[in-house]
Amino acid sequence: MSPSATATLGPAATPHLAPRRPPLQVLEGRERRRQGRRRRTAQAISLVLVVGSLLVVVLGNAMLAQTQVRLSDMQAALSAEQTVHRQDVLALAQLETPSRIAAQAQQQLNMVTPSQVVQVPSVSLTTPLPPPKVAAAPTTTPSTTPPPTTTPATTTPATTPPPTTTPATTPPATTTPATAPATQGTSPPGSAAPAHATTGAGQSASVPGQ
Amino acid sequence: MTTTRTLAPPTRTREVVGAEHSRTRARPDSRRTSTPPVHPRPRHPARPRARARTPAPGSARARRGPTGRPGADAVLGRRIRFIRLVLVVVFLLLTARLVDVQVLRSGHYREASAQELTQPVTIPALRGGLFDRNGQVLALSIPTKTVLADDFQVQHPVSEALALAPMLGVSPTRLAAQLQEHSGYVPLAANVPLARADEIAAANFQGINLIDSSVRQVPNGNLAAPVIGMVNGSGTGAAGLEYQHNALLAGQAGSEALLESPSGVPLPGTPVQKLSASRPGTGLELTLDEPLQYETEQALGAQIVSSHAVSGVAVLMDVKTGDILSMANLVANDGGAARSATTSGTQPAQMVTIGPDGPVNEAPSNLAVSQLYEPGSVFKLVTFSAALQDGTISPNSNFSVPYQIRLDGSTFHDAEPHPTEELSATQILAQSSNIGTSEIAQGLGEARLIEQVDNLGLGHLTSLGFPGESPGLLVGPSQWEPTDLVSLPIGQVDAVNALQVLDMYNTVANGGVFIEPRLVRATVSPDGVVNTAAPSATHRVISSATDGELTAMLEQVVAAGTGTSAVVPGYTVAGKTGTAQIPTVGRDSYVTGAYMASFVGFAPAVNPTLAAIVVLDRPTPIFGGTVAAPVFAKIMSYALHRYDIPTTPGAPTQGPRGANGVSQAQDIT
Repeated sequence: MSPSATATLGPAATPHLAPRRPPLQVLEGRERRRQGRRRRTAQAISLVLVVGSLLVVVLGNAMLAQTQVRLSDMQAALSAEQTVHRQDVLALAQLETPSRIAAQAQQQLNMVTPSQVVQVPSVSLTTPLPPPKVAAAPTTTPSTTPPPTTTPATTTPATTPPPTTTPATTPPATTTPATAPATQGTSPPGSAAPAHATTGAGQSASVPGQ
Repeated sequence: MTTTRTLAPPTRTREVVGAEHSRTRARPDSRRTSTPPVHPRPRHPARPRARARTPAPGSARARRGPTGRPGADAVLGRRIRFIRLVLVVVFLLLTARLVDVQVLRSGHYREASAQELTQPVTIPALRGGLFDRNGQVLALSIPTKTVLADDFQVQHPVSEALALAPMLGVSPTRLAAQLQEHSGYVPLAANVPLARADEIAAANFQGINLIDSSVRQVPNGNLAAPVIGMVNGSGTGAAGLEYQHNALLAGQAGSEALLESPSGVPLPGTPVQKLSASRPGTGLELTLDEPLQYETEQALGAQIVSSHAVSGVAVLMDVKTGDILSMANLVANDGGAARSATTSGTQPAQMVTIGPDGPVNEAPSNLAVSQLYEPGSVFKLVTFSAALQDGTISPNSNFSVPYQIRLDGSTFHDAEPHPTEELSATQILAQSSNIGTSEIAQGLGEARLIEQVDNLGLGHLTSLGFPGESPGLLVGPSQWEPTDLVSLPIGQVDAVNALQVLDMYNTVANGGVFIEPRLVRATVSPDGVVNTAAPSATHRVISSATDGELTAMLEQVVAAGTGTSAVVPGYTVAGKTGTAQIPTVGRDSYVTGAYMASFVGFAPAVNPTLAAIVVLDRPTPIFGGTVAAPVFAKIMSYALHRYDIPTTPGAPTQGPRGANGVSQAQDIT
């Protein structure tokens, strides 16, 4: 063993030791109690904080789960409503199918598809139309039979009231009488039926010779 | 203090280990003495230095070892060190493996474990819908459920079958047999409505599972089926637009994971883990107009029946936008042998049943873009447009037109015998003279004709990109023969599809500007937002002046030529008839008595709005002016009124019955 090692164990080594601790002192009883109270208070606050935090976390998780359940229910309800909406849209589309409408029109309303469409020329609404050329009544020998009591428009064309009273609404005389009846109801389904398109029954009644 | 010296032998003293030994070393000079003096035990014995426990290298203790036997102790020490080293290495390896398993590759092993325990289930995405230009539904997917049975979990198959059968609409006997198959996966019913599926779920049957599915519904039956296409059993587009835009329509499927044992038995009480949500597909808003499509099919179907045609095509297009408003492709169910089911003349026409049970049915494919045919006289537009554009002719240029000519051993003639006539270019087109057209083509030459064919879009795929579309079969300079200078101008060499011919005439209607056709005008996102597609591309092909001349000439075809049956009361119509022979497959000849009758045109001729083409395969009578032009007039009349197109002052007010046209036979090429 080296001499230096021997020297560290001897009394001469004392000055080289670590600084000495402050001398212990006896505390007063009240001070000790106060420190103990503070310690217990801090411990209690910490405990309350920890427990409170745990409760908040648990409560938050519970609320989260509850909201999640509610959200899931709402999503399911939304999905169901969307499905119902799709089914309604599909049902509506089936009801609006052209083939179904055409079949209903033919079978229930006795409508027919037009075989021919005759275009009535457009007329100006401001310029009065010329009076139609009405043939004179045939000169026949007066008979003893009373005149027919039926509607004059259908039996005696000569007695038809002159259409000049309503020139703006009377279609032009260029429309051939033979084709006028065929235009009734010939507007294709779904068409906008413009004013210059096929005529209706009211207009064809004024066609001479009908 | 009394010091007691011990008489123990020095060797014993040196063998002392542990605390006693350390106690002896507490004295600095104790090692110098063989018998250390005995001191009273100190209150705080000096802490022995650790180095003192290990004998110094080369010391006698180290040489002898702990057993006292020098050789054996050394061997034992080495073994102990070796074993210790091995153990350390083993533990290091185990630690490394543990880190590898638990840390480095934990994800991989977690995934492998999950794969063994979880069963992924695909959640199909709801397919996007197809709508017409007005939002009417053409095809729509409805969510449904598929009922599956895990018959290993079914303990009472008979009683369960009796309860489940009324809900599924199947017989209990069959259901009971299915529930006893012992396969673990038995599809019991597909496309079950959600309301019924909820009832089944509420009943909580053992071993019965419901998975999401969907069914494609087509409310209009088979209306426009060749265009819309179809989806297969797995919900994937298999034809038509459903196939072409499948990536857009299909959406993105989601997935769920079910926990189950390695043997495949689902673990009860385990939640379903949703891995990814499904995303619905994007819908398409087409350019088709549903009522117009119906009218087009009705008009075409009636004519197929009455003319005993094999098939027919009719396409209606918006001149300005290139939107295809209707596209009908029909075939006769009996190959055209059936007699007419409709009345003619002034009798009201009846509805034509289009379907497998009717006289005509939807074609298996979109013939308007996939079926090639020699167009015949409608192709003469290529010749006349090029000649007018180059200035080699004017509408009033006169030509001496004989009945027939011979070229390179072949004889070409007009449809009907006639003496040599002086005809203007307009009359040649109106009467569809083959010889007159070939005389005009002589001034153009081969290269110019081929160039004009290319300019008008023939030989190219359209921008539709429709599945099965054909660009056409055109003659090129390498295949050119001398007789092609007569055959090509009258539409006998090149094979094109109906849509290409319509595009060609639509170019004339659009003032000489070619516009690409289109079938999709917008996309509809799952939340209903409509995104309009870009307008079709355009490019000028014919000058405005030439276009005006062509329009006037085509108007004469309908007014006083072969196309008088195409007259639409109230409107001026421009167009061209075609009656083309059908080539024999594999031979350089034509099928006897077989013709393709067609009419293509636009209206009103003054301010064109709509263009249409009608093609009939092998009709009787054979002429396009007789069988195709009336269909054109019917479709065009309905469309013009539907879109409120103003009438043309001075236009004929009656249909073709009173028209004074030339013989319909003159348009045969």
